[in-house]
Amino acid sequence: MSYIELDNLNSMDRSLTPMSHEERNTIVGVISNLLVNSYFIWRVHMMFVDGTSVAPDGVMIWAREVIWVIPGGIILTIVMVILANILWAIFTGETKPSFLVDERDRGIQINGMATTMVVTVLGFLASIAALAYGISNFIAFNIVFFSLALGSLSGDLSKLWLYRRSC
Amino acid sequence: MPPRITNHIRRLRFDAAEMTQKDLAEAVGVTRQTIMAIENAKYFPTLELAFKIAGVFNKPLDQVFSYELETSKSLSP
Repeated sequence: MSYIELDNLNSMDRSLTPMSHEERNTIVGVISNLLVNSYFIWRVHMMFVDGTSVAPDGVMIWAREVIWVIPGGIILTIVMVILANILWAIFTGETKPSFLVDERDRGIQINGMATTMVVTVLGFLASIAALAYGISNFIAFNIVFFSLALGSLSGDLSKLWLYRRSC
Repeated sequence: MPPRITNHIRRLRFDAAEMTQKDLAEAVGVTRQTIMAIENAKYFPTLELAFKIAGVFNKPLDQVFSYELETSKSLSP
């Protein structure tokens, strides 16, 4: 067998498993993040429409919504990860799927966390600045919430970029 | 700019009874994607992983990886 034939063999193998377990989970995380936050954007929009945003107890109602959205998002992500792994095993025919997390995954995770932290801190600072300029508490809390969501999303996207760049 | 750390893993796999990337990955405890990234010089392994890879081929580290100095002199023979 020549180098080229060996490379072809690896290419065929690559087509079956083009991404690691962690990369798949990151993609699922992005989808889950978009679903949960799309729902929450719609809920916040409805709060603006029905006047909750300017009601005296508006922040309390908003917080109760958040209390449901956060665990709901976690459960949705777990369910989606399990489903994604089942579907992946069915489509690729992998009899022994690998759940290995190696040093490259950990390095990429650290980079993703750094991105998340930068975006989240910027969002938090933006909310403080907005409060200083007289914006309502309701909007300030939303800026904090969505900076967390955007931080998580940008961290996942930066991880995906790093995974694709190092293939 | 070409990568300053290069490796000969592809050739060593070929010489080692056409070992696949998957076999090597399993031998050193990483994903196949990581081996692929190392071979393509898109990811540079930790020293520990580099030693493990060299150990699989029963070669010293400098026969698996080489580092090009800015003067274009390789550290490996």
